[in-house]
Amino acid sequence: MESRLKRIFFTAALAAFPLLFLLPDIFSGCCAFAAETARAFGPAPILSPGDYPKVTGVNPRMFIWMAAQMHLWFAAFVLAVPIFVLLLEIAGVIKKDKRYDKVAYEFLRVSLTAYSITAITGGLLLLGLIVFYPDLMKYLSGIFGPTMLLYALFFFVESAALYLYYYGWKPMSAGNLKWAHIGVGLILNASGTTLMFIANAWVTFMMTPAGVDIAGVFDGNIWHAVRNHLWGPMNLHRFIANIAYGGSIVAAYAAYRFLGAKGSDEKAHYDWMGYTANLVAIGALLPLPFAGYWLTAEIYAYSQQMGITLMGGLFAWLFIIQAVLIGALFLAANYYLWCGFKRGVNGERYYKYVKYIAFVIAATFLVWFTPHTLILTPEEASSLGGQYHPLLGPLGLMPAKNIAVNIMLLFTFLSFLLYRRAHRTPTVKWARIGTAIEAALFTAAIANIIWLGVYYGYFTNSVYKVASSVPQVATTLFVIVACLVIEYFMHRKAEVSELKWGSVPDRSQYALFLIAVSFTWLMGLMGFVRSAIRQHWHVYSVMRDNSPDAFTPSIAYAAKTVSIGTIIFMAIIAFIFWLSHIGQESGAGDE
Amino acid sequence: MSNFLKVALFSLFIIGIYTLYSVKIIPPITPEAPPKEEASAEPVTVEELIALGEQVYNGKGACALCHSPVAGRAPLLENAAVIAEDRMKDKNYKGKAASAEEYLYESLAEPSAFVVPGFGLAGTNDTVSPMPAVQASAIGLSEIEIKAVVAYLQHLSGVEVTVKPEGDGTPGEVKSK
Repeated sequence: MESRLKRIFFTAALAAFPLLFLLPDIFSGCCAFAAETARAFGPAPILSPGDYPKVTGVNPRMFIWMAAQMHLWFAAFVLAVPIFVLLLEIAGVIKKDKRYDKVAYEFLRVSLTAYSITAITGGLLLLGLIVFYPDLMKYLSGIFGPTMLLYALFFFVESAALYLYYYGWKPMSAGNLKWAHIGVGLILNASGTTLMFIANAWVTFMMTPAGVDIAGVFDGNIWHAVRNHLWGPMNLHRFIANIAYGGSIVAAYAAYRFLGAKGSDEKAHYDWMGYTANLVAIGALLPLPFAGYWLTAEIYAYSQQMGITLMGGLFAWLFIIQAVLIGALFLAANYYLWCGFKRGVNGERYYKYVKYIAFVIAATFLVWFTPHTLILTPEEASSLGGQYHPLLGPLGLMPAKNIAVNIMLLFTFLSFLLYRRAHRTPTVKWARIGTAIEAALFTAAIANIIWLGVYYGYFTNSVYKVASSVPQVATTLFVIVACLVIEYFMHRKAEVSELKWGSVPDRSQYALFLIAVSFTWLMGLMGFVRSAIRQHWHVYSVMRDNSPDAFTPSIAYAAKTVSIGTIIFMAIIAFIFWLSHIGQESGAGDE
Repeated sequence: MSNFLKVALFSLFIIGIYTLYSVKIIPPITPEAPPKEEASAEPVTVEELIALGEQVYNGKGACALCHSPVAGRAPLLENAAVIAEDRMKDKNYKGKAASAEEYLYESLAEPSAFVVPGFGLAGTNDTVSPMPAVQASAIGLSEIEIKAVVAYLQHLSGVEVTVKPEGDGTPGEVKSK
């Protein structure tokens, strides 16, 4: 019976594998089909308040906002977890270490319940849009109809692959079947990511419409509408952010289990799981600001007006809040690494550096959230000589913030390097030289980042001001890669002591909770601003929102809404974790 | 206290801090209401035309977002009508305007006809303007609104306003998005 089951799994996995390579053909074929069957499309409808259906006791915008946000949070989680489950599974096969397999399986079990809730919230969102915004949906489906069918197809493929991946974990755990199982994981990830790309096309079209004229008349080629200005950067930004987010949620799960662990083995397991998941989260967080730059640059490229609304207008203050949250994320991530020094026998020798790293991160954090324009009374402005503080004003500009974020990333990376060295002692003769080279790289990089930011940011025109951020980012990435290469060769034959998993203090786990909560809140806030910069447009500049809710809410209103959403989401996640826990205890999850 | 309660309280505390910071510390700014679809009465005098131009310049047209000393993203326009003749003689000028009024109109409708050095789109060597054509995209100015902005710029430069209001003298409605 078991061998028959294996054959079925194997055949199904092999049959489905080529689909992965056919995805681009399927998609372009779909677009070509649409182009061939292009019909005469009408302009975007001009609506009046009466065109928006009402349901007593329900605020349409709030309903859509909550449903969309919940769907995004859960979708981010269930898209991200299979990515690093697959990576862990492959690592386990290569390293022949069963721990990877065990933790990957546990990750997957946690995400399984979340998958159905993602589908439920997606259904709620769709129903809400059909009920409250029928004309918008009619217009969008007139353009994106074929991609909506494609979405349904990939949803089916993803669901099938997920169940095959989960239930086939143990029957396909050895030999060739293990590789077939990895193939199923690839299909799962490819279909999940494709789903996100398709949905991103609809969302980004609403922000930067393409393939339509001024009146909203569609030219008949879906590819034009799909490949709008923001589609590429949004795909990249969400892909990376989802991994960071998924990692943070799993790390929080591990932290909770760590706190309640009954024995040292269990504690060690969840300590390792929390560390691994957090490493994934922070590893994905590092390139995220750069993906954000690209996204923002494309917003400016499409419409300066939209870009200025985002960064220089009403929402400028929102980025100060974002800075506070990201600063909190980095502080918590560093704190967690510092606590982890205790796991290695040499950890204590690096404690003396912590206060300096903490100082730099706190200082860059302060620069990052210094606003440019101050809200002042006329008397205060008069005594200050204007809206800008003479000394702090320049810190409110983007060049200062670019310097701050790059240095913050470098010092977080430094914490990680020290953490790795806490249980390694290099034996190569050139170890001191290697360390000196790394120190020199850090020093030169910091000097270069500051020089680029100050010179091009304050003494040249705005074109170079923006352009200078690219070499700054390149400098940071170069140092990270170069140091990792040096570390690899330096520690190849190092004396490695076993890490004492489970030895970290309980308080370190609260850093993981802080990271998960901050990520969730931040995603909600940035989701708000992404949508809000359309202002009173359903489809920017093409289809106006004439509903009673067309106004842009204030940041305070948005913050309260995001907080309520975060609490609801966290409560559901806690419920899912509880289900997973009781499933594990009863052994049902292992069946 | 159980771990669940501790973690729940800690999470609520973090959410509370972020909320309080956003609500109490960040300055309360209430966004403007969406612009009305029926913008303004059709101007019948030059003064009304200039007033409409100023309103569009600072509002719907979003011109002041970039053309200001604070923003520094685009050239200042206080002297635009005076230096228009010089711009038209510049070797990089690609437009067809025959007068300062036409040049200003062209700058709004076809911003790349002449790009002030240093303000071009990155990588285009000042041949393409980053400014959108004002009659298209989200700005969507009507014909009379563009003319009103030209009149306002002439007025701002201290030269004679040559743009004439249209219509039969009866106040009407200017349509805009």
